[in-house]
Amino acid sequence: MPDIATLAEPTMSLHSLLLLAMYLTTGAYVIFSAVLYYHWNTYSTDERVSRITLITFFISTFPLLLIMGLILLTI
Amino acid sequence: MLFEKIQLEPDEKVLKMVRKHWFVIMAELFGTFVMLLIPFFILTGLLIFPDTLAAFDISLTKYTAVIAFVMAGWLVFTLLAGFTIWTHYYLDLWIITDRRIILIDQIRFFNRNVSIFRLERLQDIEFSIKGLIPTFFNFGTLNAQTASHFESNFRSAGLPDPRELQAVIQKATDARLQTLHVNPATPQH
Repeated sequence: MPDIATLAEPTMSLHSLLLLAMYLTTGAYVIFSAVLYYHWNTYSTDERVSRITLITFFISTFPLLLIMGLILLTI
Repeated sequence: MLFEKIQLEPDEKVLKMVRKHWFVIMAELFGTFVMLLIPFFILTGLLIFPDTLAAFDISLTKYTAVIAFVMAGWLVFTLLAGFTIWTHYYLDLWIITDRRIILIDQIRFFNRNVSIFRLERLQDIEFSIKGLIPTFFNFGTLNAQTASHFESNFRSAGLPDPRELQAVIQKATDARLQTLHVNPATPQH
């Protein structure tokens, strides 16, 4: 019969925890990107500013997500 | 784009478009910048005082990849916060035309308030500049009263050069009233 104390212990490994964090971050990022794109595309008064903002957003954030993914592969 | 949605009236001219003063966004973005640096401060602190971690039997070199992962995640979320601030700043707008004032208040994502006030309904407009920094950088709050049944006041803080803004609105109101007085057939919508 299994020991109750053993069952209650958290069994999630560090890798699984980081994988879960990666999924949550990616999900939040995708939703945020869509919302940001919608707002700038719909409500901006200047197409040039919208373009610069969206390009800056993807240039500054997407590599970080890639780094997170690559780190996850190495762990 | 926005102007396609607002649909200016025929021959309506945009006199001025105003966003909040740059100091307002810089103050907000400074907070984000500090948040961006927090993990670097913590890491530097741990490298300066390695004994703190040694007491818990934790080695930084063992968890380099995990630390880099967490820091990258932190940077992503801080940047999202920064872009949110920038979006709210840029989409918050006052448009003064020769017929009306269009006040766009981007409160949050998917929470947007657009108010339109006709200049001939404007009764009183006043500005206030309170505090050392607003006085130094010349930004303040603009209050206006209209003769509308529903919303008789509108107020916006952090506007640059409110004195000039007041003058532009006053001048446009006078011109509008004169047009309506000379030619009462002008549509008032």
